[in-house]
Amino acid sequence: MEIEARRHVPPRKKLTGGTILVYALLVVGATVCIVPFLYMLATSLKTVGETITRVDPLPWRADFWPAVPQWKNYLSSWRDANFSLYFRNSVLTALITVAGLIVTSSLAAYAFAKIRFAGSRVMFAIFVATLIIPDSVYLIPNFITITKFGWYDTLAGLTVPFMASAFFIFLLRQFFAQLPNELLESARMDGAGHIRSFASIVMPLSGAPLFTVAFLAFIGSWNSLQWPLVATRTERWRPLTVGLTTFMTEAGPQNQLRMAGAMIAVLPVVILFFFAQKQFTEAIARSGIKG
Amino acid sequence: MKRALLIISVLLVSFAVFGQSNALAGVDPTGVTINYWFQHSGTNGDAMQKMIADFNATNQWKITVKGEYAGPYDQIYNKMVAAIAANNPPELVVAYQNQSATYAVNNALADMNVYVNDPKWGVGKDLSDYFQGFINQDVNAQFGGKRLGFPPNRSVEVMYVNMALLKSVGISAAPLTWKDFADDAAKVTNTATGTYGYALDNLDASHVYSFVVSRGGEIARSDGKGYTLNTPQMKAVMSYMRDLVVKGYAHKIPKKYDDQTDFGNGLAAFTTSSTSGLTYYAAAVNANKNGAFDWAIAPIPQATSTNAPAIDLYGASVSIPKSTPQKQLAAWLFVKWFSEPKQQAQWTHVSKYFPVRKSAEPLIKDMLDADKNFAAAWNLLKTANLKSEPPYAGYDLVRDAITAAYSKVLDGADVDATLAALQTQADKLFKDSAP
Repeated sequence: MEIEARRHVPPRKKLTGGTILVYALLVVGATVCIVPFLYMLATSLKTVGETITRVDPLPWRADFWPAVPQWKNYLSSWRDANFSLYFRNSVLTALITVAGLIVTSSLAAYAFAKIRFAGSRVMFAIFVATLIIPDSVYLIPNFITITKFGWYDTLAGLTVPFMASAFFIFLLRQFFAQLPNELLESARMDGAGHIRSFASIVMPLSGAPLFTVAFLAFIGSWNSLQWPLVATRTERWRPLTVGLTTFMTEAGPQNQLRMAGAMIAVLPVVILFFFAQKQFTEAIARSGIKG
Repeated sequence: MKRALLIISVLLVSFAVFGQSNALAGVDPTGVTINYWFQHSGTNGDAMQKMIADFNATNQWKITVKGEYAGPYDQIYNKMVAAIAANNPPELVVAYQNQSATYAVNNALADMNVYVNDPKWGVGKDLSDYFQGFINQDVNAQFGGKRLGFPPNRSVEVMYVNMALLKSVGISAAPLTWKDFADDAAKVTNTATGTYGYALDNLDASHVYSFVVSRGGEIARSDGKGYTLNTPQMKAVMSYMRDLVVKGYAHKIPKKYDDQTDFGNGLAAFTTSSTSGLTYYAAAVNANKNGAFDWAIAPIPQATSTNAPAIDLYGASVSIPKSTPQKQLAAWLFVKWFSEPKQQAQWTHVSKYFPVRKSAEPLIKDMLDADKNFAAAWNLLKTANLKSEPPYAGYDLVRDAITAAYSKVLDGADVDATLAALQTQADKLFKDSAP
């Protein structure tokens, strides 16, 4: 057993100049990525005066950090912005939106990728064309719609308008199109219809792209601010992002509380990405989308 | 025939005289519930909700106000635009003058003159107790003199001064004129220590407006018919500030509120901002690594020394969107109650905004005694020549154009050409946004 395990240990690579350069670039890249996060952490532990005066952007300097960490900022942030309620609302809104989005996007993507019907190409082109319309254009029509439906200040008003997305249909369609048609034809010969083929073949083979859709949709919902403010009247369904805006006043920002709140808000997304990064990168690679 | 004509004449005259006052005749606000969208959060938000609860518990008409934090100003504006389109606005909303003008373009606001001047429900003799500069701010010439809002509080643009730094170079008082300001800025500028004169915020058009009025200019016509941006005063402001930057006496700040950083760290001798930021500047000074230093507030420097400096008046008002006569009246009664001296003093103690009534002064005496800077700002308010930015619909876009032009000039663009282009752009925006 031990011998077997040793056999799989890859041989040590020689450190060449190129490798060192790559590692050096990666270290620089990682530092650039992590400094804003450290800045957020450091600011969340400062006094209000320190957030104004101790603003050195380099973490190895003393002024980057608070003189005495103010851990109570987290408690103040949680309490002042009603985070316990907002946190629950953010989680519920994001999960329901993601669930709805997965259902509508995957079904539409399957239809565009695997079912031949009149006008499918034109319809798909129209769907994709809607990607160029800025989100702000949807604000008033969406608001009028949810008001007419009686969804103002409800969970439905926060989630239903975002349960369909041209981008995610496009993303999934690109992946579904790569699945061999022979698989579906075999299933059809065994008597499976589209729904059965979709549920038993396509979906199980599409874990990575579905995970990506779920991940991106979760982040989109988690970070949204304008719509929750417009579509709600009371605190009942407002998300964390609304809580964060309460630390911004006309006179200036309460940055220590904003950053403490942001740390709390960003944590679920970081955890999610930690577990989902493999599927995420895999799906991007498979769907052929490049940044 | 003569008798009939006489009766008709009497009726017409009566209607002309009492017509406006009859607008609210028979309107009963009893038992009405209204929604109020505001921007206050944190301590201010809690205080506002408490005051609303007080009103709900004590008003004789059993009016219920439901206060709602609706986000920062820009989000409230977006929310209002959507709500007006969906015919679902609140009954009371916080709004800057130019925002209320945009709502009024859509015929969505009530004229508050009807309420202010009503013999039964209006403010009556108390009108003279309000700071006239405050309440005149919401009378909009672009809409034929309609009152599109009413002030719940106000603040003003002032200069924050590092007195310790000035004293270190032998200057004993804050500069009163732009000439003195430039001289003082030159004296405190020291590349070895990093100190300099003015932390310049080129990202906020209100500063430009302040500087223009301090030189006797204006950026809009008083008849509500357009902007005046290509003026000698505007040219003087642009050239003067660029000169300070070129000489190193003024430093442009990278982002909003960064002037507080340089001021708190004792690097900048001057910065200009709203009095609503007093607590932030105090916090910054108190967090100075070498200990708090002597600082003060002073009026924005003027073209010539004067006892009545022209200063920019800040602060959003509250507007009453059109709904039912009962709800509109209920909203006004809350606004009127909030503007009473007792409530004003209560609000000032929490928010540090200035009350809109002169008679509130004895009720905030403890604050005036405890904070020399707050007292200085209050005294300034009583003597200053209060100026207001244009309340035009679409002024937001013109503000963006002004800051862009200001930045261009500070970066070296030709002043005359830039201001000519700015005037053309503003004229177009005015035309596009007009009612």
